[in-house]
Order: sequence, then structure tokens, then C-alpha cells
Amino acid sequence: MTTSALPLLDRGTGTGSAPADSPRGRRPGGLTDSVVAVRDRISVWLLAHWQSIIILAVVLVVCGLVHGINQDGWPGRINDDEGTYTAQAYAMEYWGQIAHYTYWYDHPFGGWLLIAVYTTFTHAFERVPTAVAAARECMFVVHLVSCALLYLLARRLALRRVFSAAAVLLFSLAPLAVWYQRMAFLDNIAVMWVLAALVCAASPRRSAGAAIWAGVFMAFAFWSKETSLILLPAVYLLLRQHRDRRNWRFVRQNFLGFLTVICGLYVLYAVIKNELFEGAGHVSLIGATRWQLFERPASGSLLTADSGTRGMASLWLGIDPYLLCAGVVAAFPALFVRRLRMVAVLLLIQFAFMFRNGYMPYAYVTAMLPFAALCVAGMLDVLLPYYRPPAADTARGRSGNMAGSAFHDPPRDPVPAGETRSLPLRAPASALTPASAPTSASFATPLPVAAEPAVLATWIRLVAVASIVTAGLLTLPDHWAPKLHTALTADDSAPSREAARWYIENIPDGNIVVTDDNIWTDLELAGKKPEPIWFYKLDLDPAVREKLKNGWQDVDYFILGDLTPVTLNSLPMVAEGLRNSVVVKSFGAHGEIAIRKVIKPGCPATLTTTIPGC
Amino acid sequence: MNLNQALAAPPSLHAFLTRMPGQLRLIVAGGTSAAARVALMAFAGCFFGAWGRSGYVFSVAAATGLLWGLDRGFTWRGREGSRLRLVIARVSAESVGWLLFTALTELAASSPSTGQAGPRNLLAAALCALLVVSTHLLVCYWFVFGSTLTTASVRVLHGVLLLPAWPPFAETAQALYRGRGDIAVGIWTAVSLSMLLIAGLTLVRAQYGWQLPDRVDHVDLEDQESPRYTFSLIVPARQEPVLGRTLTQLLAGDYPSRLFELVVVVSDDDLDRETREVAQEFAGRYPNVRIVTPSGAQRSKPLSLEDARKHCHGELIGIVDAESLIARGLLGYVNTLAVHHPGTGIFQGGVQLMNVRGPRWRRPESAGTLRALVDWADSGTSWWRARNCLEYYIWFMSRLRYQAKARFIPLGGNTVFVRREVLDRLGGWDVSCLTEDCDLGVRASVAGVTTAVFYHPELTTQEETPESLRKLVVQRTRWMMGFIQVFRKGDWRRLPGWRQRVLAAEMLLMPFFQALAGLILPTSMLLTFFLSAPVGIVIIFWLPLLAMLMLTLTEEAAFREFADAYRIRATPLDSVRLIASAPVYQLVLSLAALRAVMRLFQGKLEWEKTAHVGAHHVVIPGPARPALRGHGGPVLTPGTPVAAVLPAPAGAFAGSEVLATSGIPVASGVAVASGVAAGLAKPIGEVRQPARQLREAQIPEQLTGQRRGDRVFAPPGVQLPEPFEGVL
Repeated sequence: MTTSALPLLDRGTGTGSAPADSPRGRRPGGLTDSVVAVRDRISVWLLAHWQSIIILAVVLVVCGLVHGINQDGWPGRINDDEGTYTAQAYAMEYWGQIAHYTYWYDHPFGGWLLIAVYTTFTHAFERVPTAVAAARECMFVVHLVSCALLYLLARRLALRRVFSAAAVLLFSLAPLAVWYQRMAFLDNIAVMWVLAALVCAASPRRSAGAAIWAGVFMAFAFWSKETSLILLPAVYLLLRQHRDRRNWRFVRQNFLGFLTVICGLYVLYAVIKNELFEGAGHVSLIGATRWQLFERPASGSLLTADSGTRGMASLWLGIDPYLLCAGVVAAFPALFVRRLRMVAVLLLIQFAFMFRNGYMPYAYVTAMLPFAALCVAGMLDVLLPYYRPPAADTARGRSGNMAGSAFHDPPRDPVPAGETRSLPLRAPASALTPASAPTSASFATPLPVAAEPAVLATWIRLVAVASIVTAGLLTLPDHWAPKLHTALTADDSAPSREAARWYIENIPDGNIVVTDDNIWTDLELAGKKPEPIWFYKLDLDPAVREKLKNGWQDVDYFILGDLTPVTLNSLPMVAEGLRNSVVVKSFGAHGEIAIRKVIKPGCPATLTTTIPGC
Repeated sequence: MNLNQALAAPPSLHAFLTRMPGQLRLIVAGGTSAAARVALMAFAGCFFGAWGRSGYVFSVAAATGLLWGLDRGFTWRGREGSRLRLVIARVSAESVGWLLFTALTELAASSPSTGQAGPRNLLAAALCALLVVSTHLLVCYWFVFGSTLTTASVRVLHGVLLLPAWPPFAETAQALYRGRGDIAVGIWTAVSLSMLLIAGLTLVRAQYGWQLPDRVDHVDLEDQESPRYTFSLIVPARQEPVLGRTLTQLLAGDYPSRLFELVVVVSDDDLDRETREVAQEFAGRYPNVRIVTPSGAQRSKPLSLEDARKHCHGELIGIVDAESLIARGLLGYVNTLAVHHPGTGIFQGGVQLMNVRGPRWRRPESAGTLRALVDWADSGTSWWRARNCLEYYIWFMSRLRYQAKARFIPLGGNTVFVRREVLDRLGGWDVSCLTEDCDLGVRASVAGVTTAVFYHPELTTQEETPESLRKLVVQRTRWMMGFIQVFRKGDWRRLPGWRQRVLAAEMLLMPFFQALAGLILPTSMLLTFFLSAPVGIVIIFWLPLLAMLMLTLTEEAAFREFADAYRIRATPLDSVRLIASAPVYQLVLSLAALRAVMRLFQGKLEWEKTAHVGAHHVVIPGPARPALRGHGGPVLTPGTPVAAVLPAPAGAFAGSEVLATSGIPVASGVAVASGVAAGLAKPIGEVRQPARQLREAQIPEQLTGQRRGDRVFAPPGVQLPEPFEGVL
């Protein structure tokens, strides 16, 4: 009697042997049974996935080398946000507080919570030369996880292994990714969670549990960076695309429910702290949200020349034009391929948002990169016809069964059959139905002998893929190699690092120092007293001004890079202080960062003075 | 040495330990205990610097936790003694030890000649450990297990033994009072986290049936084996005017009549005369209907089942409640399952309440506005009916299947089929147990019998919700008390795996959790405002509520599935009402749980001892039947339809006979809970009947023919009524 002849019952019930005679009964989860079962499952899993494991291992080693070498040195400390998140993670680890100053709901705090968890468990702050490097270490791990998830997602979208690996390599080795994914940005963490949510949403088992995880991961993405919610429609649609009508209701409720509940905790947090609504004397969630959405100075649309968005875009394209452009170009035809449609939508949503006149964050591009890479690799996969050696058919078919269909593919409901993992192994069918996922019907029927036009189409597609790949191979190394070389060797962070070290070693305790956030944490970690002050807070935080009654005149030192005039205009006290200071020592070839001593009124403008109070 | 000896398992350590002579056992247990205390004290001192009293207390507590079961399972194995005395002896000895340790350390600290504090205190702890352990063993030896003392002296001894416990008790109380804020927060955090865990587990198990797409349609109706097994269907009937309809339905099934027999259990007293006549009529006409008429004034369902078991000849014994609608293809499918799964001992089919909407409410005559309002809220509303139907759906579609897979299943009392040899091996039903179905499931799980649970809309047994909200509460109270009764009976402790035991404890104690769940919502809200707890802790307070919200969303999804499966027209308004009514329904369940727990504490479980006479299992015909039957508890698990309200048509009650008999139980002095009795007198005007009976009851030729219109189809008290409009 075969299994299929049995009426379907739940595994573990009804199929057991005769009732045991011993009074204690049969031990269902006997130790040896479970060990054998686990061993069997592991070996089946290994047999099914060994190729992917090897490919992924190689790819991860390459990505790890590119992203791991000199990750502290390049890019330099050009964005203060890195330092802010690091400092907040530091505050979580050492002070048990959400932020090092009053938390004002700028972003949900899940992102730096993750960094803090990493640094707590690995003692990263104590280990590495600068605090930001500790956070970048966390980013390195996040990037590797993102790569693995991207590979998994590509496989679940039925890309062949080679194209899945190509997607990962495109994503990881593009100079833009090396630039942004190395920096301690919340976007990187959010991208990882979004990818995780997508992987769960495309789960071939279509289980209600996978939907729970998709919702949870999507909520984590929100907790890391609230803007990732703009990707929510596409994630939902991907889940819907992969649905099975038999449990779709539960899948949907689980996804939306867990997402809402976990995101709702953020609002609940504000409610409990009585900081939901705006009011005198405290920060508020609604106030912060309103500022982010409406009052923050907009960067303009991509279509407007001289707008901030245009400038940002040209900055990105200056770093690497190829991945983004190729991705957007590939996304449009990918809209017509069922299995790639949602990836294309994910990319195009973000692309479309650039045309709106809103605030454009510096790291906005990060979340576009994996989907751009996936679109490009996916379209190549669609273009390339499947190759089936006649003799190898049976062997491959068997392993294909193992990989996917026998375990995961419901035989009676082939709704999203195009996405099953077994597809690439057994489907020459897509050669006959170009640019669309084959249906299960085409699996069942024996393939007809390919007619002349089909052969022609196959050849055209082969040539197209070959020429695209050749063009890529001819172009990319020339443009990417020098940038990657810089990334692996240049030490742009040196000025900041040396400034921090010099100050710690040469300036005694007891001086009030105002600094940027990158160095703030380093000084904290060195135990400098009194607490250093983040330069933004000098002007903006009432609590800080309370302590410095005389404004800039109470400050002894500034450690700052060059501030833009816009920034200086918004921070009058810092500007005044800088005006009344002399450079003690500057670092970097062009004086990127300088330690300045404030000359108080009535004091001589020299560094070495013996007058008390100066 | 021959081969058999070589292959025999070596004697286990457990067997060796339990065969030890008594004195040696005392020494080993005492030595282990003392050594563990000293080692733990050293651990606490070395790693946490707690060389003082806190370290000592930690060592005592940790040793007790680690060596849990040493006393009962090893030291005093085979001896009978009161647990209370054991505890008193233990507390006394520990208190003495604590006092001694305090005195020793104080003394040593005040005298300058001694060395370092660490080793000194460790020595003191070792001394105390030896003293405590030996005192404890000696006291137990004489007092607990060797006692022939009289009552008065025992009381005195209790008091004396507890004397040394006062100083540590006072100190503990003082410490507790000082840290009362933190303790309150801590306790509520623990409560919230455990409720979160339970809500999460409930969520996962409620979704079990839909977790994977393949799990949903697990019944293949096309797949039919030819009839092979013989069935005995026990129909326990007690004042069931609808028995004729049920028997007709059963006989009209598509299983060959030579392969199944109906064993109708009707008592031979005067109360059941009408039902008995119906049954006798069937028995006279059909050879495969058999009547068992046990005597005895007081009947209960387990008694009836046990009486019937002796007369069953079939290979599969099934239980069918006399008022439920059995699906046509049920026996055929169970036969198929039995053929395909020879190793499975029990087959549990689905039972489904059907009326998501109540009957049209009529304002009771001669009732004031307020009373009318109460009556409307009680029986005129239908929000709880939808939730009740849904509970059954989730229970049979998902939860029971999970339980079957986890190998701990509280069986239902209806539509359950057991192989005869399995039933005989289990010793049949426990007549002393009111929840014999749940109890049978527990014992079957202990014996490792596998159970198959199947649910398909075409195979479910259909029933109806209780007729009023009050009766729902009464019914729930009974189920919960039944669960607690099974819990107290303790068979579940013999389940083979610890996971099963935990699962059993969780399931059988669900009344407590449910009562707690109703308290959580208001309490958490209050604590948010009044307790000065950190934000993170307050968020933890809220987590169980959020988990319940998720559970409600799952229920909404299940409700749509349910409506689809039975082609019930469900509007978005229904979903909204379902979600909105969740907290209210939870409160109703909490009320029932509180009632059950209160009755438990009031000692109303006394009836568990006398239950075998079925004092409460008295059935009043007609309107009173549901409530009273319910109280007697023929069906006490949620899997079982209780008091399915299929009232006989109003015409059946015309005449004074019924009205007169309805007074019988009260008059005859049978203890009936007052709350139940209060709800009895209400007449039922509505004729309600699921429509499927008429749709599906296609009577075979040999049954129909000349018989149509005969009394078979209209036995006394039964008219085939109109389809119930509200359902379909």
C-alpha cells in the first residue's frame, strides 16, 4: 500500500503501529527515534541542497572578503548619522537608555538595539579601535546575512543557482553597496529584515507559520527604519502571489496581524510614556512624525534640476551608475514576468518615490540595491532558455523531486507553480512559453518536439544573454575594480580616528568638549569626564543648555570637521564658539577634522596660557 | 551464558536504587542531599560572593529543586504517609537549620579568632546541612511514616514542630513588605509572560489544521474501501423524544445494515417509557437494533455505555448521542480509515454546532421591560452562538487533530469510534467519572493508543448551540469542572513523555487560565496607570492582550472558512461582530471558569465520589432536558455536544403529562443546582431543526416503501419539522 492510497491524516496519527503492550505505552518521542529522524532529515536536506550550499559558501567568502577588509577605513567618517546610531547603541549597552540624549522618536529604536545586542555579545566596543568600527562590524554581519537571504529569495523566485549567485554578487560587489552597506546605517538593517520577510513570504510550504515570520520580519524592518513600510504593499502582494487558497485567510491574518501588533508596540511605547500627543515640555511621537512627513525641508523631486534629490541621485550614479540603471531598466520588463513582478514593484516603488517632493535621506538608495540586482539577474534567468540533456533527465528529475516538489508542492493546487524550487531543474518548458512561468500542466504533458521558430527563439535568447553577460563582463571590471581597490586599501577614517586618539591622550579630564557623534562615543568609552557634548545638542537640547549657562563660553574644546553654512546657521551657539576658537591640531591631508580650543572673552588667543579660567 | 542472557538488558540503575534496603536508602538520600547543599553553597559563595544567609537560602532552595522527588520517589518509596506532615517536618527542620546557621555565623563574626568568612560559613553550612537532613529524616521516620499518634497529640506536635519556623517567617514577611512594589511588578510580569506563552500556544494549536495547505483537506471522500468492519453503535437515550428520528437517520446511512448494530440504552423505569416504546418499535422492525434496558433508578451516561458494552458484538464501538444528526457516509468513512490504519485504535469524527444565528426572539408575555431585556440578552441574542459554533469548528478541525498528533487527546463523547479490543484493554469507561469521554481519551493516551481525528463538512455530526447564554455558562462550568476532575484523578501523570504531561496539565487546567485571561485585561490596564513600573515591563503587561488580539483574528479567518464550508451566508458585519464580541465572550468564559473554580473551592466536587450513581444525571423531558442533562455531565469536554437543543415540536408537549413530569426531579429530591433549576421552566416555542436531515435522509427502499408516513417517522413526540430557516 502506498502512502497516496491512504486517506490523508495528520502525520503521527493513525499511521502508528499496533498499540503497545507495556503499561507505560510506546514512547512517541523516544531518543533513538528522534535522533534517527533528525539525522535522516539532515541528510535529505544536504542531498537536496549541497549545490546551493557550496555556491553560497563561495559567494559569501568573496562578499565577506570585499566587505570585511578595511571596513573601518573606507568610507571615511562623512556622515554623522553613523556616529549617532553608534552612540545610541552605546547608550543602550552601557546606560540602559534608548538614546544618549532625550529620545525624540526620530526613528524607532530597533536598529540600534540590534547593534547594541551585537556589541554587547561580542564586546565589540572594547575590542575595536573606534566605536563606529564596532557598529560597522555589525553591519558586516548584517550584509552577509542579507547576501544569504538574497540568494534564498532568488532561489525561491525560481532563479537558477548561477543567476541567484550572480544576483548576490551584483548586490554585494557594486561600489554603491560597498559604500553604503559598510556604513552603520539603519537602512542596512531594515534591508536585511525586508529580505527576510520576502524569503518567508515566498516560502514554498505556504504555511501559516511562514506568514507569521514574514509579518514579524516586516515589523522588525519597521522597527529598524520606519520608511521600509513603503515596501509593505509589494511584500503583501508577493505573499498573495504565493498563496494557497486553502489557508490563505490564515496566512493573511497572521501576516497583517503580527505586523500590526509588533508595529503597534511602538505607539504603545509612546502612549505608556505619555508621549504620543504633542504637549508642552516633552517630545511626542505625533510631533516627530509630523516633522518627518511634513515639516522637514523637502529635497525636491528628481525631475527638478538643482534639487537635493537630483544631487543625491547624481552622487549615487557617480559612485556606480551600472547597477541602478540596469536594475531600473530590467524592472520594467520584469513587471510582465509573474515570478519577478513583485521584485520589480519593490524597486519601482522606491524609484517612484524619488519623483515626489519629499525629504531624501542620504542612505535611501540602500534598499534599492538588492532588488536592482535581483531584477537584472532575474531577467537574465528569464531570457536564458533551459537546457535539458536528454540522458540526464531521469536523474535530474529525481533530485528535482527531492529539492522541491515532492515535499513542498501541493499537487492539487498549482497556483504559483512558477515559483517552486524544482522548476529550474526540470523545466525546459519555459523555452516554449517565453518570459512566463510554465504551468504545472506543461510538466505533465510530454514535451513536443521543438519546432523551427522555437529553435530560432531559443537561439535569439541565448545570443541576447550571451551579449548582455559579455558586455557586463567587459564593462564592470574596468569601472568597479578601481573603486573596490580603493575600498580595500584607502584609510579615509584616519583623521577622525587620530583626532579622537590625540584628544584622549593629550587633553586631561575636566574640559568640556563639544564633538561630533563619531568621536563622542570614543571619548565616552575612554572615560572622559565631564561627559562630551554632541554639537547638535548644544543649541537644540534644553537639558544641555541648562548645564552650560554661559553658552559657548563654558565650552573648552571643539572636535569638529567642516560644517556646512546651512548647519552653522541652524546652530548659532556652535558657530559663535567656533568663531572664538583656535585650532590646536588638525588631522587629515586637507584638515578634515580639527581640535579647537575656545578662547574665552578676556583671554589671550594663544594655546598655552597660565591665566586661570582660560 | 546463553544467548538470551547475553541479549537481556543490563539491570538498570533505577531498579538497583529502588531495591536498596531501607536504612541504606536513608543514608544515601541524606548524604546526597547534604552534599548537594554544601556544593551549592560553595558555588553561590565562589561565583556570586554570597557566603552569608542569602547563599545559604539559595543552596537550600536549589538543592530542594534539583533533588525534587528524592523524598517520595526514593527515600520513602513504598511508604504511605500524609503529605502535609511531610511538609511540616521539612519546614520545621529547615527553620532549625536556618536559625542554627544564623547563630553560627553571628557568633563567628563576633569572635575575632576565626579565619576568613568564606570557609567559615561553608563549614557552618555543612554542619547545618547535616543537622537538617538527619533531623528531617528522623522526624519523618517516626512522625510521618511511623506514626501511631492520636489526634490531639498530633495537633500539639504540629504546633511544636512549626515553632522554629516563626523567626524566618517573620523575617521573610518583613522583606516582602519592604519590597512589595517590586514584588507586585514581578508577580504580574510573571503572570503576563505565562499568559503570553499560553496564548501563543493556543494560537499555534488553533491554527494547526491550517498551518500547511495540505493539512486542510485531509479527508478524501472519493477514497472508499468496501465495507469490512462491523460496527456497534451505542445510543444512550434518556427521555429522548427525538430518538426515533436519530435511529431513522442512522438506519438510513449508506453502510450495509448487516454490518452494524444499534444498541439503544433505555432504562426500564417509568420516566423512559415513551423513549423505550420508540426503541422497541424499531427493535421489532429491524433485526440490527437491539435494546438494553438496565434497571436502577439513577442513570448516567458512563453507566449506560458500560451496560451497552457487554452487548456489543461489532469490531468498532461507536457512541452516538440520541439527539444529534449523523452524517450519511460516516460509517463508510470510518470503515475506510480502519482498513487503512490498522494500528489506530480510536477514530474521532467531527461534531459541529450549526446555528450561528438564534431563533427569532419573542417577547415573553407578562414580563416587564427590564425582564424582557434580560430575557432578550439571555436567549434572544446570537452573537455568542456564532462564537460557540466557531469554537466547535476550531476544536475539531484543528485543536483535536493537534492533540491527536501530540498523543494526548481528550476525546469527545459523540461520534467517537473505538476498536473493541482497545476498549476492553482499557477496561471500558470509568463509571465513577462524570467526564468519561475525556477520561477515556486520557487513559488511551497513557496506553499509547493512536487516535485519528477527521473533520469534513460532509461527515460531521450536527448539533445546535445551547438555547440561552445562561445555559452556555452552566454548560461551560460543567466542562471545566470535568476537566479539573480528570486532572485530579491523575491518570495524566502516567503519560509516557514529559511533553505530553505538560500538555495534559495545560489542557486540563485551562479553566484556571481562562479565568485568569478574563482578569488580565482590566488588571493590566489599571496597572499601566497605577503601578510605577519601567516602560519595558508595562509593555510586557500588554503582550497577552496583543496575543489575544491575534487569536481573535485567527478566529475571524476560521469563521469565514466555517461559513464557506457550510455555505452559511456571512456578511462583513458578522466578522465585525465576531471580533467585537471576543472580549465579552472571553468574560463569559471567565465567568464560567470562576464559577467552576469557586465550586471547586466550595467543595462542590464532592459529587465526584457519589457521581457513579449519577445523582444529577436525571433527565427531564421537553424544555427542561438540556440543562439537566447537561448538569449530569454525559458530555463534559468541549468536544462533546452537550444539551444540543433540538426541542421537540411544541405539539409534542401538548397535554399535562409533560408539564407534570417536568416537576419530578425537584420533587423527588434529587440535588439539582439551583441555578440550573431556575432556568428550567421556560417553555420553548421554536421548532428548530437543522435542514440537512431532510436534505440527506434519503431512506433506502426497504425502509421506506409502505412504511412512509407510519409511526416510524413520526414516533410519539416527534414530527419531522420544517427546516430551520436561520441556519442555511
